[in-house]
Order: sequence, then structure tokens, then C-alpha cells
Amino acid sequence: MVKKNKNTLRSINWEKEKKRWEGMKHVFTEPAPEVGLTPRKAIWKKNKAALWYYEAPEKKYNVPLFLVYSLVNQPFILDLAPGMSMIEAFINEGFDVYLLDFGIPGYEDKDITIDDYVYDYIQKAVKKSLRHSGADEVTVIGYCLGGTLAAMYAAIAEEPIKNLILSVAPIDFSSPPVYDEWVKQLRHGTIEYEKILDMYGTIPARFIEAGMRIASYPIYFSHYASLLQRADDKEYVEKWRRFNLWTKNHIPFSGAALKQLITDLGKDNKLMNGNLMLRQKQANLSNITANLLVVSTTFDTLVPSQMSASVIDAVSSADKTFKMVDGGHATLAANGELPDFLAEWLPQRSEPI
Amino acid sequence: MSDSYKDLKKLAFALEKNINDTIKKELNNENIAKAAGIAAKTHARFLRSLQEYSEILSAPLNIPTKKDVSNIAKLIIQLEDKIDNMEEELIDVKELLQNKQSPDVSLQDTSHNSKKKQDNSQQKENKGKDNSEKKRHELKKLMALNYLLTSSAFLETEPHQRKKGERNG
Repeated sequence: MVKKNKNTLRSINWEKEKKRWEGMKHVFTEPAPEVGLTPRKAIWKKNKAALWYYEAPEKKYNVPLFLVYSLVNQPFILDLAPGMSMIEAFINEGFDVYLLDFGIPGYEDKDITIDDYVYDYIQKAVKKSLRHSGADEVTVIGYCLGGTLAAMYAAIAEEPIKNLILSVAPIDFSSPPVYDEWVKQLRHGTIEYEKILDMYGTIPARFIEAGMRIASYPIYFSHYASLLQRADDKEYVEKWRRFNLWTKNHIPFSGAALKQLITDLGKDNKLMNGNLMLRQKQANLSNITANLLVVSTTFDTLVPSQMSASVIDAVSSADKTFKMVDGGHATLAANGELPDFLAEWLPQRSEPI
Repeated sequence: MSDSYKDLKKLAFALEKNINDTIKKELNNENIAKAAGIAAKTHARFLRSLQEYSEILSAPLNIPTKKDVSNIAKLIIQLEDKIDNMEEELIDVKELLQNKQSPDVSLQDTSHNSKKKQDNSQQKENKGKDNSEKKRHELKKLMALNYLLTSSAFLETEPHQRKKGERNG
């Protein structure tokens, strides 16, 4: 028994263990890491929103990228740090990038509706990007709820959208992946959510985080086990810290917009059914003719593939692709390089110079 | 030893998944959903009373409420919108003028060349050119001013749609 224990002790790599626990200590004692380090310039600001321009060091494509991020988190997931930034990967590939950051809403933004986000923010920002770049067309990329907004915008857009990429975007709410009983009650009108949303005005970030957690991981600790396994790897620890910072950085949500999303999408599934009205204009997915790429990930519990895949059948695009990729909800946003499928799909549709 | 951490990770993932599946399964219940609906209604009623009383108290206590502050912020946002619209209009005017200017310049250049051939007096020609340049600048200014004054976006920018419950602004 003693001999066995001695052997076990001998097999331990003490140097590695020291590094591991130092890495763990580092996570809990060091100040929050810096994020969003890729050089950028604000070309337009409106209320709390900003349109950021990331210039390609060597521009290789005429069609710039316009990124729309979600309303529940901050978009720095797309630019965590040098070497772990999707935006950096895009500009290094030769794409000029425009990112619409909606900012952090305050109580005064409680009446901003989805119509406002689509027309006053996205459409205006696309116009500004087209003017700034001098390009004839644009590629719109929407992540998560930003993908839903991007699809709505594409359905009413008058601007020339060449490509539309919807990444883990919830669009089809016909069969809810979780809590179908709740959705049933919601559709029956048993749950009155309007009054409570009105009373709070802007929904606090804590509530949004709780909602997201309940829908995906009510209890969440496995990431600490992943960290412990690789805490001796400095690069991994840095990435983990930044990613963890992002997962805890939910932002408040305009009550009017949330109410509209629950009613029009969650209850009535209007975007998919083709009867969503945005400022008296029908946002029908069949209006979309841009080249379309819809991406879902295998382990996404928040937005499983059945919430995105059916968009393919609803649009009028001649060139449309659905791609299933290995990973979780934020895998594609937090990538440090262009995934293979995107590196193949995007350049040939972006007018190489 | 590293295998132990790997095993621990696997165990953590499996445990987390089991706990979460159980929570989701237990929560996905008609009665809980109905109870949550009632709780939300009660909570909203309580919040409304609280807000109403704080609004009433804000006057004698002489303190602004969150609504007062947000109303001012909304006015600023409306102003920003108007400036943004004006900026858009100005850019359009600038582009319009630039587009108009380019053919003028080329026309003037050609007329300038033909004049050069016809008239040998360089001084006279320069004087005439300066005058036409001045006139053209004045015309440009007038056009821009006229455009701005008649533009509905400049003078009659739609105020933000008034939302229900908004007190002023």
C-alpha cells in the first residue's frame, strides 16, 4: 500500500501542478482582462450605439462585412484578444469590417422597439457603412439575436445586401426546444408578461442573465473543471478568463423590444410565418434574395439547429446553404481564425480585388 | 495525474447535465408556469403601487424620479436624432453639389481653352474667370441654403413618437 502511494507520488509532475494552481490563483486574483484590442474607429454614434470600423491591413475584397451582434450580451466576444478575435481574423483575411454595437441601454431606452432597432439602428448603420466604404454591396452577418434582427432587416432592406450570414440565430419558434409547457401557457394567455415588463421598463441585466441560464444551463460549474484541467496552459487561462468575463457581462434589455419579441416571435412565430410587420412594412423572409449561409452548432442548447435551419426554405435566395458545425453557442463568435467552411464560402462571394 | 483532471472534468460535465436536465424537467410543468404567471401579475401590481407612491412623494420631497431623469435623457436623444438627420441632409447636399460641380468645371475648362484660342488678352480672361467663379460660389451657397430651408427634414423633423405614460418632452 505504502509502495503504491509512493509510486503515485512519484508519477506526479510537480512542476506542472505548481503551474496549474498558479494559473487557478491567477484567475481569481488578477483584475479583469482587457478586451476589444483590435484597432478601430467609430464612424457613427447614435444614442448608446456605435458603428465601429476595423480597417483591413491589406484589403482584398470589395464587399465589406457588416456585423450585427445580439442585444443580450456585449459584442467584445467577437474581439476577445489578439489571436482570439473573429474580427481580427476577418481583417487579416482582407475584409473591411463594420460592427454595430448597440451599447448598454438605460432606463430612457425602455421604449425602443424592434422596429426602431431594425430601421433606426441597423438600416441607418448599413447606409453609413456603404457610404463610408464606397462599396456597392455589403455582407451582413448576424450573431445570435443579432442574426434574428439581421434577418428582419434583410426582409425589409432597400440597401444592396450581397450576402447574409445568420450564425446561431433563433428565428423559428414553432417548436420550442425547452419549456414547451411554459410556451403553451404563454400562447394561451395564462402568463401575463406585459405588465411586469412595463413596470421594469428596461429589464435589468441580472434578469436577462437568469433567463438565459434557465433556458440553457440553470447550474453552471463545468467550466471550472475545464479550467482546472488546463490551468497550466497560460494561453488557455487567458482565453478562459476573457470568455468567462463575457459570459458574466449581460446587459439590460429594452422592455418594449423584449415584449415585442415574446409576442411576435415566441408566441406567434410571425417572422417564420411571414406576417411580421415592422413600421407598416411586411418583413417577409421570402423578400430575401441575398446569398444565404445559415450556421448552427451541434452543442448549442440555447439556439438548437431547428430554430435556424428552416429559414433556408423560407427565403427566395438562389444561393443558400445550411451548415452544422461542431461547437457550442459562442464557438463561432469567439474563434481566432476563419472556420474552414466560412473561408471557403465567403471570399468567392465578396468580389476579390 | 492529468488523467484525474480529465476524469474530474467528465464527471463535472455529466453531473451538471444531469442536474440541469432534472431542473428543466421539473420546471417544465403547467402548474409552475401558471404559478409564475400569477407571481408576475402580483409582483407587477406591487411595483406599480411602489412607483406611484414614489412619484407622489417626489413632489413634496423635492427629488427627481427615474422617470424625470429619463425624460430629460429622451429629449437629448431626440435632439441627437435631429442633428443626425441634418447631418444626413448636409452630406446629401454636399454630394449633390459635388456632382453638379464636376461637369461645370470641365465645361469651364473647355470654354477656357477655346477662349484662349480666340482671345489673346490673358488679363481680361482671368478677370472674367474670377467673376464667374465668384458667381458660381454664390450660386452654390444659395442652392445649399435654399435646399436646407425647404427641406422638411431640417425644419420639420418628426419628434420622437410619444409613448404611453410619457409625461413631457
